[in-house]
Amino acid sequence: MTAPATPGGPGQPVIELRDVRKEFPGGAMAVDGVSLTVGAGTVFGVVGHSGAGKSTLLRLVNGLEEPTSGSVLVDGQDLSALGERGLRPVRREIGMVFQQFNLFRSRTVLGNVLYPLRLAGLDRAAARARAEETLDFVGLSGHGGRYPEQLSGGQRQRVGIARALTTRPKVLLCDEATSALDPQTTGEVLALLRRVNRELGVTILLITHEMEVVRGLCDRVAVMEEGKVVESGEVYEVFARPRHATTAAFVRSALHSAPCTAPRTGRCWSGCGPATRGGWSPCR
Amino acid sequence: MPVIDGAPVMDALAPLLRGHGVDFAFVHGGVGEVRGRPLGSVTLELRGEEAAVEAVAAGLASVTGTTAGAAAVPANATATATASGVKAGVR
Repeated sequence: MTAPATPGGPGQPVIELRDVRKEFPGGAMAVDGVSLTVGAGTVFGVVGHSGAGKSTLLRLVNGLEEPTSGSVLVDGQDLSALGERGLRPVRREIGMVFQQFNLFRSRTVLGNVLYPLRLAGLDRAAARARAEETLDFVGLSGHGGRYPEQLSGGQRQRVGIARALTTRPKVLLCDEATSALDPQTTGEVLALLRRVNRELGVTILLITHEMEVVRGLCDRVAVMEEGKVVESGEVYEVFARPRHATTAAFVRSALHSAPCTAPRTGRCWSGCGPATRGGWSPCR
Repeated sequence: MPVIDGAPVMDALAPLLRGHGVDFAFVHGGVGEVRGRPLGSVTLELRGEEAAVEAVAAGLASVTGTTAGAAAVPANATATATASGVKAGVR
C-alpha cells in the first residue's frame, strides 16, 4: 500500500518520493515505503537515529542509489527513468554538503570552489569570477589562496557550502552538515544555510540526528525510524504536539523544558535516561 | 503546564487558582522559541487543601494536555503539574 505523502510546504514540489523502498543485498530494508514532498523554497529536515535510513534517502534523491521500488522525482523528473547521461543535468541542479566536508586537500579554497564550475564547462575567467562571488557570499573572500588544512572546521564547511552553491543549484542536500562542528560554529553554519535559503531561494533537504538543527533551521520535518517516516509536519506543530514516541524523545532533547523527577519519583518524565543500571542520570 | 502558542492553558490558570483558593510556586520552567513562537513548559507546585489542589489539577488537565500528580495530599503537601505525564508530587 502506498504510504500517505508527507506534505512539503507551500511551493511547487521540487523533490518527491513516492512509496520508495530500498532493500540492500541480504534483505536489509533501509528505506521502507517513504512518501514525501519538498516544496520549492522550503527547508525540510529529516531527523532520525543512526541506521534510520536518512543517508540512504539522501543518496536516492541525488541518484547515487536506485530505489528497489517506488519513484524519486527531482524537479518533476523521475530519476529511475533517466540513464546516467540523463542524470547529469539533474545533478547539476543539486548541491551536496557533507559532514566531513570532503574537500580536496591538495587544492586551495578557490581551487575547490572552481572545480565543479570547470567540470560544468565554464571558461576560466567566468568560473573564477563566479567562485570568488560565492566565496564572498559565504564570508570567505580573501581566503581563496589558503588550503583546507589551514582552515577551522567552520571555515571548511563554508568552503563545502560554497562549492555546492557555485553552480547555482535549485536544491541543496545537507548530510549531517553540522555534526562535526562545535555548538557556536554550528550556529554560524545554520545562519549561513538560512541565508542560502532566503536570499538565493535554494530549497534545502537536510538530514540530521540533532533536533536542535531542525529547530534552528527547518520549516518542515520528517522523523524516520527503521526506514519509515513515523511522523512529519510543520516544525512548530511537531515540537508542540509530537504524536510518536520517537518524535517526543527528539523534541525533549531539544527543549529541556521539564525538570528531572527521578530523585523523587524513581522515574524521570522529562526524558533523561538511566545512566547506569539502577541509577538515573540527571537531566541536562 | 505546556506553554504553546495559542493554547488556552495559561489563561485558565489564574481563574482556577483563585476559584479554589490554591497558591503556587514555580518549580521549573523552560520556554524558548521555535520558528519565532514560544514553546516550552512550566512546572508549578500547587499549595492548598487536598480537594482544592486536585480540582485545580483536574481543571488544568481538562484544558489541554497538562498533567498533574494530584495524589491524596495533606493540606501542606504539593502537587506538581508538568507537561509530560502523571506523577506524584507528594513529599
